Amino acid sequence: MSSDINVIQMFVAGLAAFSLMFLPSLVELMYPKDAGPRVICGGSEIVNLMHLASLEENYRLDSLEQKKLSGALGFLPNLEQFI
Amino acid sequence: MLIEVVEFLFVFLLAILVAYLVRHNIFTFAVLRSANNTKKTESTPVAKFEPTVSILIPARNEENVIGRLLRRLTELTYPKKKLQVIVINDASTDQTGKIASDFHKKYSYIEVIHRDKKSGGKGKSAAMNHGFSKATGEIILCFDADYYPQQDIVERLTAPFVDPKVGGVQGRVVVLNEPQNMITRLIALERVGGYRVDQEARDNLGLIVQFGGTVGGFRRSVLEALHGWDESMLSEDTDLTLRTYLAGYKIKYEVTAECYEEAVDNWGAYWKQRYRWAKGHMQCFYKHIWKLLATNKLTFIQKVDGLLLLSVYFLPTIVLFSFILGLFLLLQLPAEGYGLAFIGLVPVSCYSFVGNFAPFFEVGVGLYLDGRKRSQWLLPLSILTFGFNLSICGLAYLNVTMDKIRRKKKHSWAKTVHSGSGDHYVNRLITVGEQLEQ
Amino acid sequence: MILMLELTALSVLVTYCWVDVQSGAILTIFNILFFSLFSQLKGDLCLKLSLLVVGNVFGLIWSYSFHMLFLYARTYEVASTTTLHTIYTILYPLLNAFWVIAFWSLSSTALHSARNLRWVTYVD
Repeated sequence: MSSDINVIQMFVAGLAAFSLMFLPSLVELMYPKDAGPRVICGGSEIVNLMHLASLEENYRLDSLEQKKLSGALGFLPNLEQFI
Repeated sequence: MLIEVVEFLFVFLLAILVAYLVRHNIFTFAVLRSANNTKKTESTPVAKFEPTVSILIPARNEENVIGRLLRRLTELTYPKKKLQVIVINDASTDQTGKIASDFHKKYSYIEVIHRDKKSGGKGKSAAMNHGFSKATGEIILCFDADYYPQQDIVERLTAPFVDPKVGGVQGRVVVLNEPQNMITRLIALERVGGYRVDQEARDNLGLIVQFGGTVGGFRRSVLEALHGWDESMLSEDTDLTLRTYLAGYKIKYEVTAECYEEAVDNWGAYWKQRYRWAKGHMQCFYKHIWKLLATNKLTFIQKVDGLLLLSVYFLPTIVLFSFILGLFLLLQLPAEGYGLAFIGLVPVSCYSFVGNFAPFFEVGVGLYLDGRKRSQWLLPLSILTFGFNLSICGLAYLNVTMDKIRRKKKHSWAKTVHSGSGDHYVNRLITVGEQLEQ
Repeated sequence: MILMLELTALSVLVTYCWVDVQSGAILTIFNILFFSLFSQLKGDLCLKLSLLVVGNVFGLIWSYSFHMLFLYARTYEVASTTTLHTIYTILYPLLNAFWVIAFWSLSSTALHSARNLRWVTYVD
């Protein structure tokens, strides 16, 4: 009986491991981040503008992060007063 | 005796598979090398070569998509006085003819040929020949009705014809409705492997570039010499490719000439389309193989590549057959001497997870060069299309063999139905562009 | 870097000796593919070598696990030896090589994508 259960367990483990190989594919299908369609030439002006937009978005996100960081650092004591 | 015969057959089939693996490796390296060496970041300058151009559009029951293409053709940057668009309405039973006629009334360079039920409906080749008989341009380009080209595509496709040795040109196909469902996403992967890597490598290495039947064209004089499209062939594009090379010309691949296509979005349509391609390709193999090997117009390497190109749709059948033979050998050989059969199964299995059109690493490199990241995660799913293609190509092979035995020459043309789902993505691209400009 | 290459070689050797010849061959093919193609992609060398090592270790664990599953089933006589042998022969090459594609797809996203498209200009 215990050997049967062990074989079943191993079989399920093997199946799970195999299914794991498809996990990234399922993630991309369910939550697509790169679904296209790819912008073709003649839409290069769109690519330029979209690239600019993404640069601006990155800058905005960086600014947000900087604000959070400076807010966190604000709690620290000013060490210059001890110099 | 039987074991020896099976062993010989197994090794022979394995050698073919290894040859394809090596070929695809070479293609992948060639494209990566050329991408790494290219320092240009500007658009490829387009030569000031403006021949008269005729664009042929065969259309049968394409009311969902023909209007979109014709509207796009009115937006092309090529001088309209040098452009002739011929829509061949091939015995359509829907509004295709009316839509095309409406465009003809507004734009003088758009012409329409209406084929009735008696003369029409005999396949794409017949429609193209009819259109060609009315074409006046020095360069003949072809687009399928579901396509959506970039605005300067005519300039890019005609530029290679500056070289008199160029008889034909092929542009790149990009899937428009890629996000629609899993099938369209997998087809997009196939296209990336085929057009971004395979075709470009063949062009870079001076091998046989395949004309895909659309987003491409030929010099008028070459088409006249070849007597147009062969109406008995299901894969008229592959047939024209081989005939062009055998006539001493070459086909140029222009990767910067890009055009959207609306891919099939269900397994039934995928089956029909790929079955037609497989059967047509196999017909071309039987028609051209001896001429290809005997010609003095091609180099040895081109002949080898041409042979592998013509045989590509036999590959899934070869994979399946070699797998079965390897299994037979393994069961017959003593357990302690796995040897050849087991080791031989390794390349079979390595190749057998991929589409026969491009191995996974070729698709992966194509995605990399396109700057696509997450799409790489879909590569394991290519086992689904491979499994499908195993059945399609196996059945096509059986049917072609039976047709040859029965000496059947006429074949029915199974048309691909287009739903017009690509409109949504075209509109989205235009909307995004307009929003960003504001 | 040398340590990473040594780990890679060790994984192949261990697979060849302790698992079976086929798995060793698969791992060798994986390494050849990885070396030859990933070396041409843009990305940090350390990252590429780390991915290579991870791939080898994963491949070793993967093939060892399925090999042990087969041995276990044979030991406990789950099915007749011939049936098991046949099932193993049919499925094992498929199972054994499948991880290569999944690993490739994940590791390539870890590298930078190409920026030198000829026909698209980027604003720097």
